[in-house]
Amino acid sequence: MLLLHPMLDNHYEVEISLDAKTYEFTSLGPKGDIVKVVRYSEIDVKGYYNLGFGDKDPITGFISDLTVTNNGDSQKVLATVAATLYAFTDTNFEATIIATGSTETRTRLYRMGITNNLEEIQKDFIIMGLTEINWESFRRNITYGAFLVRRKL
Amino acid sequence: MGRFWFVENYKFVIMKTKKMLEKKKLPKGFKFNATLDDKYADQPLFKDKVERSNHILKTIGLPKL
Repeated sequence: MLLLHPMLDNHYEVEISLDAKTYEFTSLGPKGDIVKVVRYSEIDVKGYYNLGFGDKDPITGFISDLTVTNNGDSQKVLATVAATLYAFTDTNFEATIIATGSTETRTRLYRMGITNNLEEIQKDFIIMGLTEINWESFRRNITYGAFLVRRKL
Repeated sequence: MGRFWFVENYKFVIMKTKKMLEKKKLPKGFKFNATLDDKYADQPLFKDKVERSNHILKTIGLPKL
């Protein structure tokens, strides 16, 4: 699958590692050029990956998912991260990816992003949300603590 | 042959794999950067999130997909 869904066309240019697990792009906005890194890390269960992304400190080079940038481009950043999901699952088509926000505010932001594009995302991915007790198919207006996606084959 | 052959053959395999991967088509707006494979090897990226994901699967279990 080389074509991204049209909603994802507005994303930043991305550099991808050869193993398709690490991505880097630059957010452009009033706060300047902010390098962002996305990493898919396999966790203890084989075939399951954690999706993490954060900002690179321009001085230390340290990557943090707690930095609040407010560069005015959150939608484009989310679209870019979503685009990396396509690239990653193009290579790892059986992978299951878990995503959580580093803060509750961010988790809510991700939920809103999924909600606003749910029908389109569901064309290509199975999406689940984590309630207090189990995983369920993602529904609107439910507060989830984490999200899980798998590419539809 | 021996060690020299092994090292040279290994380098050839890696180079050929990299070239094959670079030819692999990517979504629009993506390009390969081989340096990214090890660029952040000195940092445990998103360690807290990885641990949280492990904790979730351990306590809640796997989803029924």
